[in-house]
Amino acid sequence: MTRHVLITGGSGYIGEPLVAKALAKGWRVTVLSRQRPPKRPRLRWFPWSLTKVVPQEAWLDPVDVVLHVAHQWESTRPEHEDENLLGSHALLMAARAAGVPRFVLASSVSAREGALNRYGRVKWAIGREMTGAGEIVARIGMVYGGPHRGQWKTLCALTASFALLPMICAGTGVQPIHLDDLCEGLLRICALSTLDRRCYGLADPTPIAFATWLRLLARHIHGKNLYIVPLPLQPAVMAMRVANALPLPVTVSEERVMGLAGLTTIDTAADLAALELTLRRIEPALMAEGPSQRHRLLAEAHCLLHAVGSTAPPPSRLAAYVRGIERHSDGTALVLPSLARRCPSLLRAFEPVGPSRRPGDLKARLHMAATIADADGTAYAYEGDGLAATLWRLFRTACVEATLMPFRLILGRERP
Amino acid sequence: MSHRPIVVVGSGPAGVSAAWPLVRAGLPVVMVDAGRDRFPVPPPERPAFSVLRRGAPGALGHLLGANLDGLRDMRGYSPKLRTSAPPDFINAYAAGNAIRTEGFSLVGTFAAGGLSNLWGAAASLFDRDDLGCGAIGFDELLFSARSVAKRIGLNGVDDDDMAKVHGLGLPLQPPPPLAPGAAALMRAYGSKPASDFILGRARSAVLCVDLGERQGCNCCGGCMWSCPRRSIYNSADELPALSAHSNFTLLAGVTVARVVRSRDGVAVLGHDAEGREIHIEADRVLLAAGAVATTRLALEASGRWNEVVPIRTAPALAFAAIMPRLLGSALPQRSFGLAQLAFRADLGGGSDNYAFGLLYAAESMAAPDLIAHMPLSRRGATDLLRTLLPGLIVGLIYLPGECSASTGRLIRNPDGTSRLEITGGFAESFHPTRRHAITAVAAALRRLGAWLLPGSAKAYTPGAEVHYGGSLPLGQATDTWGELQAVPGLHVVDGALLPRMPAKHHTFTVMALADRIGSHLAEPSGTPFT
Ligand SMILES: Cc1cc2nc3c(=O)[nH]c(=O)nc-3n(C[C@H](O)[C@H](O)[C@H](O)COP(=O)(O)OP(=O)(O)OC[C@H]3O[C@@H](n4cnc5c(N)ncnc54)[C@H](O)[C@@H]3O)c2cc1C
Repeated sequence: MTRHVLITGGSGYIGEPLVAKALAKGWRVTVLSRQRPPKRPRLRWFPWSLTKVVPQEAWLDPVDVVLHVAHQWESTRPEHEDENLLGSHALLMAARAAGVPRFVLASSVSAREGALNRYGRVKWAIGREMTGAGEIVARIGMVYGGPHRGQWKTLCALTASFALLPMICAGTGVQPIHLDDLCEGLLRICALSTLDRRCYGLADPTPIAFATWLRLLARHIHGKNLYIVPLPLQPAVMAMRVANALPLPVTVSEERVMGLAGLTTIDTAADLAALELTLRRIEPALMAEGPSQRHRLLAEAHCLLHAVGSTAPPPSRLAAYVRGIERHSDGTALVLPSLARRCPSLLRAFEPVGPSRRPGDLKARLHMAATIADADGTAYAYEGDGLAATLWRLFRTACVEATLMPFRLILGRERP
Repeated sequence: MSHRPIVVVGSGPAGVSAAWPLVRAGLPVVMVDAGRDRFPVPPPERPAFSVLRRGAPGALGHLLGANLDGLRDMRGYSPKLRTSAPPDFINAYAAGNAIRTEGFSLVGTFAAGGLSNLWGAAASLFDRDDLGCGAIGFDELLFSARSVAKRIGLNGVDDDDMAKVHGLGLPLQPPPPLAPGAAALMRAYGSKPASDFILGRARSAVLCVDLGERQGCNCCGGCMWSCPRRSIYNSADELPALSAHSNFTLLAGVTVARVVRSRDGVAVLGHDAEGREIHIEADRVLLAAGAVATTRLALEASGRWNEVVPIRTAPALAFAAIMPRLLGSALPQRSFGLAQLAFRADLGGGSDNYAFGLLYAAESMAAPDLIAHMPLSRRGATDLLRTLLPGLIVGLIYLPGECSASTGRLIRNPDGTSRLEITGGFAESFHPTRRHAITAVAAALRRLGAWLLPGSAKAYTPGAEVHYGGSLPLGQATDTWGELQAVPGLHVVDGALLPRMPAKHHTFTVMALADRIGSHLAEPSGTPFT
């Protein structure tokens, strides 16, 4: 059956793929947004924002479902007059007046009465109005994947720039959901023939600690390690308020911090089952978001081959390394220390002293790199370079290795 | 005369040596081997190792293999397993022969030619003390050894101190030239002989002069990566000549699962690669599936379930030594990549108690295999190795089999099939003997101007040295012709027969024993030895 769905915020991080997916299902789509989406068959667009009234023409062609995704982040008004609150109310009233049978609000896992941040409180307040038949709240978790926009972009950027991150509420649970899974879930709610609940949770049923989540991002998106230093909440908030009161050039958004502090988790397993929606596994999905495995192996090959030889490796060696890992190891790239990625010679300081413990660990791969470099090398002195040069080289090697040893003993230890 | 064939299980050195006298005598012989092909022979145009090492085009392919199999992690085994063996061959052998191991690194292969595709070709003949039993006379063995030596081609010398350790009176081709380090050691040894440490030329089954289709060694130095000229003996090279005889049939790709007594002979049961059952009624069956696989087949045929039998090995150690006076000198452009020299170090307490060793020029080995255990960074270790290379000597020390305590036991599976469980281990004497041997070798080398690198001596895990035997000793488990008392017509003709496992390399002796049994069976009316 072809449906007609009206999507607000159709050019945002979630709205855009949502529109594309609905069109791909053969539905007709009306988009209400500030920016005009690219022209496509079965797609209508009306300029609209939360502070404007919904154009009457939007309802002329009967709408089956309203998917309200639009959200305005900045507000200059007091909370009870928040644009989102009033705009959503107006939209709901217009939809009811037009006799739209279903209204789906994109809300959040963090929406609850008395939430620590305004976003959570406002979303809760909007959801409270959804009392009519066919009016449903979708409580969405931490959305990831797809184009770097919105909060996803912020987190990617954050994990890219820092090796060490002080953090409050490091253990707070988040419930991720991939953007594509989310869109699919929202459209399934639209298409459900019978509604057996007013609220559907669209988020991973098993929460993971926010710190773990960031570490996974760093590892799979940027191929690096991220160290998190947990900070206690109260002193941190106090310090933040003091800092914000001072005339400093940067201020910390209390709203964001409190959003994090106030995160709650909800049980979504039954909702997902009702939608027959299986969420993709997080780590492989994150890996797929990052650069391709080949790409990463190539970067690793550069680093390791450079580290075991002294010069930038020629393509033949890089290719041999990548093929070698794909053939004789599990084919996944290692997470290398960022220092060594920037300056491969320093990788020697991270080289474990003992033998390799697992197939495919750093030591085993360095050995593989050394094997390739040796088979392709030209550094053998067949003519002989005399005793003096030999003794000098021995002395140099001894000095370098002796200097490296303490670093290797510490930095090369196996990490959990 | 019966027209049922004599079946030889295995086309390794033992099987081929047993088959020749039978084939020559015109008897119908069927050789069954689980392997279809031999390991790939490198292309004849492969440049010399010294050329490859200086960045000749295609070096990566020649040294790591087209599929980069040379990048596998094969630490703990001979470097040849990394450089010359296809992946996963070890597992196929253990699985195909229903062998489970614990603490024992079993090496075996399903391939035409068996492990001679890989071997280092060190070929010495056991003497009376090595054999350690009266079941066969040494002269009979020597007779067969001569005929094997003539067939496969041995190189070495008959007039240095080691000659009597390797065996006197064998036809020999001249040896390849010595590398500078080996030559320096020999010079030093000439002026300072000692009674408890004998040094001399290694003896190997490598041609220096063409023999039939095989070409003599041209000292390309690439022995560790297999020989394109087939100078190194591989029993697979003899299969075409055997097959030229109309009374010889090769059944390649047939795995023998069991051998059983049948009405008036022995039956071989197995299956081919497609899983079709194979059943051969034989007059006699000669087991040469490699000592460990043979042990399972023979134990099962004789119904010796749950009995603990010894799996003798000659425990081995690898070490590196440096000759300071050669540091900084030129590396030879041409060299011989297998053992250059051999030594025998007395361990006291009898003429059968000695360590046997081989010395190699390190420049004919790949650096990664030599640096695998160095605690330095890979880059530092590579630099160090390249710097030391002109003066570096790599050695292997083998200890007498009495130091090993590995055992095997035949277990019946719930479905009625069998499996052989091998438990690896060392005897109590291993550690003192190992220390004694290292000290003795280090002292002797020091006298000759070479210094053992501290910490370089590493013992192989039981089994990884690939000297297997002694599970069905000649004259005890079998009669003097390897025939199992419990199963008339079933003979053991490989390493399983050895009454003892001395420190010396055993394969050449095993071949001689196999030839002796084959010759006897070829002329059942009388002994061929005169
Ligand atoms: C790296 C390396 C270096 C070595 N160096 C030396 C050395 O320098 N000197 C030395 O003396 N020895 C050396 N050896 C040992 C030597 O290779 C073996 O002792 C020798 O090959 C044993 O010969 P074999 O015929 O008894 O058995 P194998 O060579 O093991 O041959 C057994 C044959 O039987 C076949 N087979 C096995 N099971 C079955 C079955 N169930 N059904 C049908 N066919 C089967 C196999 O396909 C194979 O062809 C070395 C070994 C290795 C791995």
